[in-house]
Amino acid sequence: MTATDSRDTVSRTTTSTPSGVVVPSEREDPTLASTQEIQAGLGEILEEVAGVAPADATPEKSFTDDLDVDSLSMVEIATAVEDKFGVAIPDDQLANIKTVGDAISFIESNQG
Amino acid sequence: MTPIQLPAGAPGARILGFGSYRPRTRVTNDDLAKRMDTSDEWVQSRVGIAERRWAEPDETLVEMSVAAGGKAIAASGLDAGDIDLVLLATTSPPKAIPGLAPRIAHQLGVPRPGAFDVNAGCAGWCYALSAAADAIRSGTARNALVIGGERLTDYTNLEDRATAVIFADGAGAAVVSASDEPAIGPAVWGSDGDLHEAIAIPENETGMSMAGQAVYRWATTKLTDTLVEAMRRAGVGPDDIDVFAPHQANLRIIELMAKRLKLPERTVIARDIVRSGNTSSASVPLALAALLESGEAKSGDVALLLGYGAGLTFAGQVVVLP
Repeated sequence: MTATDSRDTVSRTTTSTPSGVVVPSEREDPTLASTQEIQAGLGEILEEVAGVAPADATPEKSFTDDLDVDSLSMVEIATAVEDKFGVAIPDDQLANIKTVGDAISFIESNQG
Repeated sequence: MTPIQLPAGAPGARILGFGSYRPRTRVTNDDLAKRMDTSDEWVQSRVGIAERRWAEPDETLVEMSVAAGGKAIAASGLDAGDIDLVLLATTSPPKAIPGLAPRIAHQLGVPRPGAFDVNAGCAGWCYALSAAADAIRSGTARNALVIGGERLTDYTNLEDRATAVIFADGAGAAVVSASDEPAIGPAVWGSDGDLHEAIAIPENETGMSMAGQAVYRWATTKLTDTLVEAMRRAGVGPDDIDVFAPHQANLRIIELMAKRLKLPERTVIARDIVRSGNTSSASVPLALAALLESGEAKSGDVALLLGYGAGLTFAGQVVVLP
């Protein structure tokens, strides 16, 4: 893990999911992105789809309440995440993803 | 065994003219905000609709379709007596029996044509256009009137803010005729029946419901391939497309599709949804008629069309505008 990782994300993911132990040398594999890569990739998607500044896309932020992302943009984010990280996010599970941290956890638990 | 004979048919089919009917009553988002918890900002940002038309009781499906059909016949330069096939694409008939195409034909003075209704959701008009073009090419018909007409407000709970802001009424029509030069490309059509509940009138209810996220995802992920295939089969590419007129379901879907197709800057994109709402089967002919009336589209333009909706159904095709 690098120093740029937010402490919040590190503690959340390394303790709760097996993918938190991914080592840097495996990062070329797009199905096994590290936590900071997921957060960065998600940030890019949020900026592209909903115009969210990358600095604002922190794990505790609610998509709807804090980042002003509506339900249709959530679908676009979900499909972009699916393409980028090789995970499937059905609509019923999308409804449970409320925060940036929820999305990061979902990707970590379902990738690979 | 005596072989069955087939008529000679025609090398191709083309659209000769469009006609449309927009109901008198204009309903703005502010009008709706007075009767339900919504706002102009909410509706415009989610679906891109600024206003829509709602039919009054006298603006029946038959009357609107006759009005649009009559204008299309006049624009085509043909007489009603020349028409031998009348198709009504609709998903909102007042009754199941009888189909309305024969009565519409009768009111227009079209003598004893083949006439039937097509229910393929919001893809209905594109399905019907393809059926008419194929009938003309095969020699089953010479001149067809293809109408898309809807009174969706009859099947919408007008107090439900999820659907009342979207669905609307109107009719659009085109006359299709035989031509030496093909001007209607092959339809790329299909359906995803596993999603039949995504747009439907639920059991024991009278108003439509729509799984907005599911439909949005389907439209923005599955249908780009349909459009690409429609261009490929017609032998054109994105740079050839002068006009892009997809079903007017949601402005964000329209903009996303245009972006993903990499259409050139000069391509005119139909955004009739802004003033007409979602009129299902009527939306593509209404949009094309409006673009031709305003001069934004012109005769000879190559247009990429796409219908998609309840079923779920979809149909894409390339046509040359009259």
